[in-house]
Amino acid sequence: MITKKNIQAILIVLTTALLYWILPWAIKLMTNEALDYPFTYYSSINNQFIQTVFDGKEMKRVDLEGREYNQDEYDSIVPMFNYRQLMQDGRLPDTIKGVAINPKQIQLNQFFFRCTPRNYNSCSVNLYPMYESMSGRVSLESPDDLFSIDHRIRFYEAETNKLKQDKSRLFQTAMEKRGFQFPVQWIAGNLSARKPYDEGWFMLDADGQLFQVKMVNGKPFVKNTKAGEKIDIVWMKTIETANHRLYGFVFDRQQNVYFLSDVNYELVKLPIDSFDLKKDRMLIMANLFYWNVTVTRPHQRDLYILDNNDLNRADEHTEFHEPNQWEKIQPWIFPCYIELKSYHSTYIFPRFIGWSAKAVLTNGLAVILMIGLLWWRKKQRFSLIQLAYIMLTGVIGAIAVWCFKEKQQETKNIIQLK
Amino acid sequence: MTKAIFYKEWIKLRWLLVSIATIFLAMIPYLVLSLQSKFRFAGKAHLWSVIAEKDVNLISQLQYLPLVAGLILGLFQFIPEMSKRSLKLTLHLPHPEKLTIVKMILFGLGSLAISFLLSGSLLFSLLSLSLPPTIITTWLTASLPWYLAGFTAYILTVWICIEPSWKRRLINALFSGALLSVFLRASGSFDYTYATPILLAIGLLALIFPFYSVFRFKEGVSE
Repeated sequence: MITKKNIQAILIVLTTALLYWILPWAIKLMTNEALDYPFTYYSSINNQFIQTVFDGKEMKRVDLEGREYNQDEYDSIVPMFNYRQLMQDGRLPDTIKGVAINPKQIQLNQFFFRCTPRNYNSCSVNLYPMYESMSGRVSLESPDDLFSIDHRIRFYEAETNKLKQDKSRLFQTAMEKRGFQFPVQWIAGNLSARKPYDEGWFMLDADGQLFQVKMVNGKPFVKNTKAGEKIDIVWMKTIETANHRLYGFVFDRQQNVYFLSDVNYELVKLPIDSFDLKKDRMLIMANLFYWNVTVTRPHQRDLYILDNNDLNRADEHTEFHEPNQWEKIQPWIFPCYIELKSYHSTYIFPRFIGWSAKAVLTNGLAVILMIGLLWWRKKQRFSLIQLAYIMLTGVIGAIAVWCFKEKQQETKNIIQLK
Repeated sequence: MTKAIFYKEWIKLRWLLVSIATIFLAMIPYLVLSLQSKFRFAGKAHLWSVIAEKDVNLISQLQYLPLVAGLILGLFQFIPEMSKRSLKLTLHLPHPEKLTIVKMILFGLGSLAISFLLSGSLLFSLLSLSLPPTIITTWLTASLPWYLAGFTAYILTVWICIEPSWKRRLINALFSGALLSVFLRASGSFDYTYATPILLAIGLLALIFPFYSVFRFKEGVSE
């Protein structure tokens, strides 16, 4: 029923929702600070975490016991991260931990892998290039067609924008022959032609089986990795490493992380605590001796040092997040607030977060004071429903009610629309 | 009476509607020629790869056009009604008041819908000659919130125009600005995947806001 009161109520609720989004956003904009976790790398010389901390004036390099190092000392104790500087200075040691080292060997074992919730909580255009994996050329050549995949795989020729019937059928038949069940759930791989080599695409079929699909000498190469038989796969992110040791990292429903080895698609579990794809971010900085695995969770950062040979946990360190200005004041001001965008997702939609009982208390007190004052000065009068709404939604609700409050003289002649 | 109301609105807005339709139609050759030019420079296969890899939307210049069209149409349709006090006469016609307003708004929404549908279907048909269905679907999905913003901007402008009090008009304008900004926050084609139904609901809900101003107008609210 379209009545004035009903529309007024809808306007008040919508205004409250908009204010619960805009005001926290504005406060955060005024108070936002950079994340306070320092850059940390594990020294393969003295087996300690070394942090690079900015103290407001200069960069300091310290270990967890507080010992300070100058730039040259830092380069020397973190040789795997600074090997190019050490080479330039002629200070690269011949052996570390009894292992003879050279720059080529360091490069072969080094890789960086980053995974954020935004990588997982996002969507991309269903159009991918199928590179020739065995072209014999140093750099990859962009194909003249791209494919899309859902219930079928279809190749489209860019020049004519026509479906390539033969190639589509060839791949479709090869995939079905290998037991691939359509529709595909998701596809993982690197779209860029600027990669050292191509391993095609990893696709999760309708049965939860992980397949590798690539093009070798113009023909489809389809293989079931059998990883789907061992774990309940949720997602995968691929990587190209100089030593071709792994295809990528696989995440299962039990929040474990594995890497998919290039040796018979063997799944190797990383000895880290649970990893929530929707909220946690991961950075792996691997070198000849250790994998520095950094897992940043909403309230803490866990650093795991894994031995490069057997991937056993060699060391670990946990740091806790110091609440910033916004996190300190929000629980006292807003019972909850709305975010449209999120650090954890590329999708835009209203998220009600930061629920706090403290704010209900402070808002209640503020509202009682405010209403008492207005009542006493006979400036505003509120109905019981409005009072209850204000008590529930706090000062923001009071502003919304005030915005659409009708004056006495405005409503004395109630006219019904025909 | 419906014909009479539509005819009155047509007489009032015909040149503006022709202008809006012309601008929308003129955007089509611009976007298509711009796409062809990019194809010539970068090569079709490379451009397809870039679109897929970087989520590039080559029709993003259209983003604010439906919003501006809705805003201008609302202003041109209802400012004369308020400045010449024609709305008072309109609401005294021997015809239910709610229906009169509904028909006026329907005329505006219908005109916008025709412009959007005609230009949109023509644009996407032309684009589909040189782009695969998956890119067309992606861009079409990405453009839905822009068109919804156009319809909602029109309704909110009508609401602001009919409002008799300047103080409340200011509040309505601030509210409308905040509400419309919700429609235009995407940077990627899939950002509104889950929010499009919510945006549609907001647009439908906004349809009743002009009646709030009409109630106030009928009550004789003034400064």
